[in-house]
Amino acid sequence: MFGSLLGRHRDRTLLVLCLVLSCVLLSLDHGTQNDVARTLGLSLYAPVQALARGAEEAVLLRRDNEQLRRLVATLNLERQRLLPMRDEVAALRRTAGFAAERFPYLKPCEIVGRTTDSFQGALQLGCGQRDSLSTGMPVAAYAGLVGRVRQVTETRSLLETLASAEMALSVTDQRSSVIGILRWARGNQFTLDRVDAVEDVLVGDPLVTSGLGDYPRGIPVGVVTRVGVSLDGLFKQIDVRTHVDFGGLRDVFVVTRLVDWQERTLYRTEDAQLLRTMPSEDAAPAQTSNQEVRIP
Amino acid sequence: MNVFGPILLCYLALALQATLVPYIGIAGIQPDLPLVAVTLIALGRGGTAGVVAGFLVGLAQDLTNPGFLGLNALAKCLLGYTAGTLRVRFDAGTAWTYGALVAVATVAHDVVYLTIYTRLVLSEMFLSLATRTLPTALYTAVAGAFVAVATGALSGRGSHRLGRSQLARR
Repeated sequence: MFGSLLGRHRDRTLLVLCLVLSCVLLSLDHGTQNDVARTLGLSLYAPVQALARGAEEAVLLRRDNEQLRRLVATLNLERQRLLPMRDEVAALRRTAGFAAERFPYLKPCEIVGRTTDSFQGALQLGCGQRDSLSTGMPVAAYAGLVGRVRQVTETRSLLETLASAEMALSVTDQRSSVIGILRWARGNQFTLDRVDAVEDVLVGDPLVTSGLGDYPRGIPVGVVTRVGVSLDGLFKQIDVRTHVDFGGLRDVFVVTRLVDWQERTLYRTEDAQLLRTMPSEDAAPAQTSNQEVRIP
Repeated sequence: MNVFGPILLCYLALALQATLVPYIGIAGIQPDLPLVAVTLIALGRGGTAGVVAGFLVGLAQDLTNPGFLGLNALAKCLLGYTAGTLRVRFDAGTAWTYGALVAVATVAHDVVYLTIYTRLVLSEMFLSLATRTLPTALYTAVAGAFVAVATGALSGRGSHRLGRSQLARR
C-alpha cells in the first residue's frame, strides 16, 4: 500500500512523511532535541567545520598572535598605572561598608558553528561541561557582551546571542546611570525600552550591563545611536548599536564565575611568565588547587 | 535522475549562508540562500524534489540551533512542495520573474515559520513580518535573481528558464 502511494502520489506522500517527521522533532523535549541535533550535526558539519577552521587558522593565527602580543604589552602598562587606584577604590568601599567588587573569571572558547536561522541568533561553542560551563553563564568578546550559554553538553554549548528575539537585558547608561531594557530589533540594531521621556540619555552614550539579573555589572554592551520620544510622549525611543559584530566573531570568553579582585586569583602560572616584566613582590605561583598565581 | 547538482546547490547555499552572508547583510537584513536553493530546485524539478530538498535543507539549518528542531524543516518542505506543484502555473522565464517568485516564497515561508515560532502571538508575528520578512524578501529576491542567472550560465543554457517555460521546452 505504501509502495502504491509512493508510486502514484509520490510528492504528497513524501510531504506528509516530512511534515510528520518535522512535527515529531518539534514535539521532542529540549534535551532530546539537543541530543538529536548533536548526533546528526556532528556527522554532517564536522568535515566542513574542520576544513574551514584549518584554513582560517593558517591565515589568521599569525596575525592574531602579533596583535595580541602588542595588546598584552599595552594592557600591562595600563594595568600598572591603574593598580594604585584599584586599591584605593577598594579601601574606600570597605570604609563605606559597600560589598567588595567582583571581577569576572573568563574562560576562552572557540566558536565552532553558527546558526543559519535569521530569527534566532545562536552560536555553537567548542567548550562544554568538561570546561566547567553551565547554562545561563554570560559570554563576552573583546568588544563587549555577546550573550549567554543556553544549552550545554559534555563537549559543546549553544550560545544565545543578544541578537535573539527572546533576549532582554538590563543595561545602564554609563554617563547618566539611567537603566533600561535592551531588546533586539535586527542585525546589530537594538532598542532601549522602559526609559521615561524625562530621563537623560544622549546619542553617543555608552551602555554597560547594569548588574540587575544574571549578568555582572559593567560589561560594555553598545552605544546609543538615536534618541526620540514615543507617540504617547511617555517613553523615549532609543536605538542602540552593539559593540560586538555577531557575524564576525571567532573567539569568545565565558564568565564561569566571579572572583573578588582583592583575591587576585585571575592569573595562572603561565600568565605570570607572560607578565614577568611587571614589578611584583609576590609573583611566585600561589598555593592554590587550580594552579592560579597571585599577581598584584 | 541526476541528484548531484541539487545536493551541491543545497550544500553550497548552507555553507555560504553560514560564512559569507553575515558579511553582506545590510542593516542586519540578510538574504536567505537556503530558501533560494529550495525554490530553485522545486521550480526546476517538481514537488518531490522540492519536498526532499526543503526538508533536508531545513533540518540542516535546525541542527545548528536545536531550540526549535524541525521548524525550518517543516516550513521549507511545505515551500518546496508548493513551489514544485505550482510551477506549471508560473513562468519564471527571466531572472527577475524568478526573483519575484523568491520574494513571495520568502514571505510564505516566514508566515509558516513565525506562526509556530511566535505561538500565534499576532502582534509579535506581524511586527516580525513587517520589519524583518519584507526587507529580507526583497534582498533574497535580488540574490535569487543572481543565483538564477549564475546557475543558468553554469548549466550552459544562457538564462535559466524555470517553471512553465521549462516544462514547455520538455
